[in-house]
Amino acid sequence: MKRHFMAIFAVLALLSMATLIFSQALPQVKASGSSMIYGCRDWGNTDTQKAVCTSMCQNIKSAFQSNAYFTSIGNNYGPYTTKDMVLQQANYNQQHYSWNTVFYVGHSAINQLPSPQTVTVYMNGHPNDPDLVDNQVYPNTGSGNHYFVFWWSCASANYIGSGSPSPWQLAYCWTHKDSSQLSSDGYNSPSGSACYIGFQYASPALDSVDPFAWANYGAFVSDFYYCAAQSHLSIKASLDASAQYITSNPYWTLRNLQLYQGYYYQGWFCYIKVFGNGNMVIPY
Amino acid sequence: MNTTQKAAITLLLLAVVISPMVQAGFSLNANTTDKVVGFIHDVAGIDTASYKVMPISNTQDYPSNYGGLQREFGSLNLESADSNIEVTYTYINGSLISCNLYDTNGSPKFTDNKDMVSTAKAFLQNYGTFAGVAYTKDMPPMLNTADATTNSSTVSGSIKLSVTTVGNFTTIAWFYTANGIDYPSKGLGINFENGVFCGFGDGWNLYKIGQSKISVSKDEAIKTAMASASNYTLVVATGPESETEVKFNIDPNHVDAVLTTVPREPMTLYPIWTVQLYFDKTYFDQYGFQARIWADSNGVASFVPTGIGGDLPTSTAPTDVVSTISPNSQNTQSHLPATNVILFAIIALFGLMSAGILILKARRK
Repeated sequence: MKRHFMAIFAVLALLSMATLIFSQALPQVKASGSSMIYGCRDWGNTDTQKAVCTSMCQNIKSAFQSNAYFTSIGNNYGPYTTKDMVLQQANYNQQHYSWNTVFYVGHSAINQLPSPQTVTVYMNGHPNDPDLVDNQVYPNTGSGNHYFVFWWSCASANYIGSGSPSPWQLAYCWTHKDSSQLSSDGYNSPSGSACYIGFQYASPALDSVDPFAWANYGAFVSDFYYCAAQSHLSIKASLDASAQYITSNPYWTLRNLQLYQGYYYQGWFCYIKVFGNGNMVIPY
Repeated sequence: MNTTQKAAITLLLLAVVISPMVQAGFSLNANTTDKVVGFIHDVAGIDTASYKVMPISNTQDYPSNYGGLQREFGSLNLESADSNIEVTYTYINGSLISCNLYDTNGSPKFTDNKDMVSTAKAFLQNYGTFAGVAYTKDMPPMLNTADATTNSSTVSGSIKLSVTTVGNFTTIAWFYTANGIDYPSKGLGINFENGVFCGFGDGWNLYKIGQSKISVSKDEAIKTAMASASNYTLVVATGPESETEVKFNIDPNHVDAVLTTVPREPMTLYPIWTVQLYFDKTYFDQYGFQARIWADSNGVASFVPTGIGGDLPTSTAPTDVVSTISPNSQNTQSHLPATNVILFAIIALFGLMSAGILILKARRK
């Protein structure tokens, strides 16, 4: 009787071990995401803007830390946002993680001449340290597994871009997908295997408040990642939920924000844009 | 083996058997899922029997903007062979205040297909019963004269009906209005995409009116904003260890002012002026000030410089140098495996050793 008892327990133990090992083996294969946060803090910002962005980037990091899929999370807002860091990290992550995401907040400029229209992104040491040109990203993201990129800076989404005549525009250089693979309106007509959010011309400072909102754009971005990375809503649903949050209006969506409807800056009509697939869900 | 040893091994085995289940389990609220599915069937008219319901997430928190009340929000997927829908929902203090449908594949299946106005009327009737609220009774008659194909508004007492279409997206909303001031948050809205129901929100009972009179005119609000600007010292970062004080000039001929309503205390709405002042030029990406002035008291709710994220546009391009980075470049970020994986590896090893000992002991006897 005692032997049988021991044998049954032994079998049960082995079975439970197998269950445990297999249940852990699957997430280990799946748990392969990276999330990198960058930002130009020390140029062109007031103390309030720096404080809002610092808090926001910490919130983004916290949202990804609550998502077990993401095993590599870096908040490099400020001094660690250098050209070498961005490029080397992109290259490393594309090789070691199957699903990568990047957030940047800061300053950038579109280069109209010569064609193609590349984008120069200011690093934290601007203007003394080298800035980042979008086409420098391209050779470091060849695996095409940077699936979600959110770039809060000027003219970061004037175009999707392409590889012709040479790589241009941040959306293409990060995702390796051109307009044949990414919807030009990923919010209303989502399609594609990646999603990119940026701005047509001017991006507003994060401490600004949408006229219909009680909380600033920093709160909007923080809540967006809370919904998308931590609560597993799709990109599009997260944008809507964050719009509801900062406006306190339960039936409004992103469409009700000035951020989406557009605003003029020095004659340029500016607004947030979503390329690719807004239905995408950040893995977890 | 004595009783204590047996108990210890039994506990160990139970822990090992249960722990993977705990890890794999979802902290989803089945009751909430049922309530949401009930809503989208009974009120929104989705043929939920055609779908498999997959709970995705459920988060509960207590945000300050809701005065410490519980917010429960999350999502679930409705899946069928030819239609997938992501459903998001928000409950405040146990009341459903928002539910949105996102068709991620195919078209949503409804029990009945109607035009937008008929759908809105049916929705209000069903919702009144579902939520047990009476304020929806005054809303349907206002739709009798509404044209859902054009942007329009109608006022009946303190309720404004607004029909707004942007692109393929239409919102039919009823919200509180008084003295010419609209309070959209204190309202009920139904959203349609391509003429098909895609969401609703109800803040009618959630919000109360803190002030319905305007005591501060647009000009007075602008004057207050100008006064704040004249006392403001604008300091902008110009490098990691440097900053500069900017001597700015306000362009007096370029001012925007918008009147809206936002909460001042949690869930209590007040009218507010948002005044945008502009500099004569852009200084280090700062182009003006945004002042928010309470329209009942002339108090300054916030006053911040407004900047943009870059230069628009440049006509000179930097040198296009494509860098070559070694695949083995050193990283400063940690790439260590997650702590829970290590913990489970230790538990698994310990469990395997225990099982081995048990087998050996059983054989010897």
